[in-house]
Amino acid sequence: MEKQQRDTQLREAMDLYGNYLLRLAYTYVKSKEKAEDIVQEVFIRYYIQMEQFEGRSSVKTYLYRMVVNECHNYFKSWAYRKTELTSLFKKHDTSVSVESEILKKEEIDVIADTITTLETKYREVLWLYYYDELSVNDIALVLQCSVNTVKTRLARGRKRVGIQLEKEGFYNGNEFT
Amino acid sequence: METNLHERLKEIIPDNLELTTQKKEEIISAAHDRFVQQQQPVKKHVWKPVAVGVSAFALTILLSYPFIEDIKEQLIVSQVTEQSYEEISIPGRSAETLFTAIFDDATNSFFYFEGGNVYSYAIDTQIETVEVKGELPISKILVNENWLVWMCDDKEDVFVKNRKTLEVKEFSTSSFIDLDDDILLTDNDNTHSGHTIYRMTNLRTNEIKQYKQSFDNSSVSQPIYQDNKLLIPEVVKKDGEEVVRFTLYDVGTAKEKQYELPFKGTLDIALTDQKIYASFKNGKSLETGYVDLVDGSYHKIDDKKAFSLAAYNNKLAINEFIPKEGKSLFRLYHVNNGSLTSLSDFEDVQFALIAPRFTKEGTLQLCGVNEKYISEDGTLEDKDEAVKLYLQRFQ
Repeated sequence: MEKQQRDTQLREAMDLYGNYLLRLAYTYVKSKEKAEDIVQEVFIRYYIQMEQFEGRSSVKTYLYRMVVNECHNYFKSWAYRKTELTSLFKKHDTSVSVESEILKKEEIDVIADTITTLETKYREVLWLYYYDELSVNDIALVLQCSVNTVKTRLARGRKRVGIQLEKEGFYNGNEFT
Repeated sequence: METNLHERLKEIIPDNLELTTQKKEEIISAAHDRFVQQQQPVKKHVWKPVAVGVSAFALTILLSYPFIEDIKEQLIVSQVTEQSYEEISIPGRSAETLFTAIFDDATNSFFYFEGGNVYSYAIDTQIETVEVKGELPISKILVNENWLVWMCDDKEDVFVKNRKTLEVKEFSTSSFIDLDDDILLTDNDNTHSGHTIYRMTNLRTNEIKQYKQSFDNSSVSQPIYQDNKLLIPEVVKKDGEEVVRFTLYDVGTAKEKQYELPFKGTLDIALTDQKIYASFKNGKSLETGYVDLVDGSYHKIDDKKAFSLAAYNNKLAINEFIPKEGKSLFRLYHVNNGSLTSLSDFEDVQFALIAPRFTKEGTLQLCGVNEKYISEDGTLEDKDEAVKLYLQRFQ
């Protein structure tokens, strides 16, 4: 494949999926810089493997899977553990004024906040289904698990979000059924 | 409604989170550079095998001197006389790998995984052995004297190896939680009935016992299976307020008991000596205490705020934040009626990130990072001394 053709194909993939992948990575790593690093690495690998990849599966599923795998790997890394522990210290040991806390809370959408507190396995399924609008079959391909696992996690994630929304007074009985 | 949810999910994302044109050009340029790099044939350096051979020969001569053995022991496995705990470095293994290590008293070895392989490292011989070889990345292992259990990333099969017969069997489950003697605790969700089914499988006889619980409530820490008892921690809503509820199910008598406490969550729990130790969350504050299972009473432990903990009989190991020093430290205490007496300070475990763990035999295991090997950007130097495993034995 010629350089120009390769560049064009990568540019198309970035135009189509770049923002979605970046946002997906962000939901895992909670850092714009780290999310950009992950997405960059995924696109570079796609560029290198373009020929081998052709016809194997859809570009979209492949890219999503690569981003999810990279994010899962990041969770296992030393850098992530350090960041997590540092933020835990900050959360429990810095004194923040009551006023600034209330202001901060008002700025946050309660639903969004609720979803971010879910365990990764439920959060990622809800995100891929509702935000990226992937089908259950595609999510199974992305997460490399069975369709039944996706359905189970989706149901359990919905249930958890529903319960938490009910607590906050946002729950509408049919909302997540 | 689903479109609405799509819109609301956008709220999680900062407004400016987009792949800019400039970033796209950077990626294309970086991708092209890496592609060209990979296309270039690898230069064969004739001197390399020679250098390796000379180095190996020199190393053999050096290691043949007995005094070098002493130095090597000090460097790799040092039993420091002034302290009661052992420090173990496993050469060539990264922090990410050593964080997965589990100590096995029976063989005096650590078990850990990297990629698709499970390894053991014998402290006595300093020999690393491949226990499992596979292609798919492993996500979790558990080990005891009889069994080695592992699971691969996002797969729904758990593999069990009998460490005596070396026979490997496989069964289907979405996760596994705990291993105690011959019993493996797993859980599966039944979305139709809305229940989580906890299965306790006897790996020797294949006998299965089950405990079913509605998944309406939020689990707050991982359940524990120990000495024929299943402990499930949850947060439930009671009279409009969140409370922590511990359900203790006795598998032998099939009786359950519940204990409720006025907290909003837990960070870590341990079950030992007729007590449930836990670090409780209450909004922004933390509190460490225990529930006495005999009379159901709750006891706050001094003024401790543990981020992780492990307990064995009357010993409590905690990872606590020391405000004066601005960092977390491991400490081991003796617990007596809610008061603590310090047993070990683990001063060398300067930036320990893994929860402490007691083995069934009561050996305390820790994994820590030495702060002096952490660079300003947070990366860890690739040195064997940067990450160490620690053991404190009580037999």
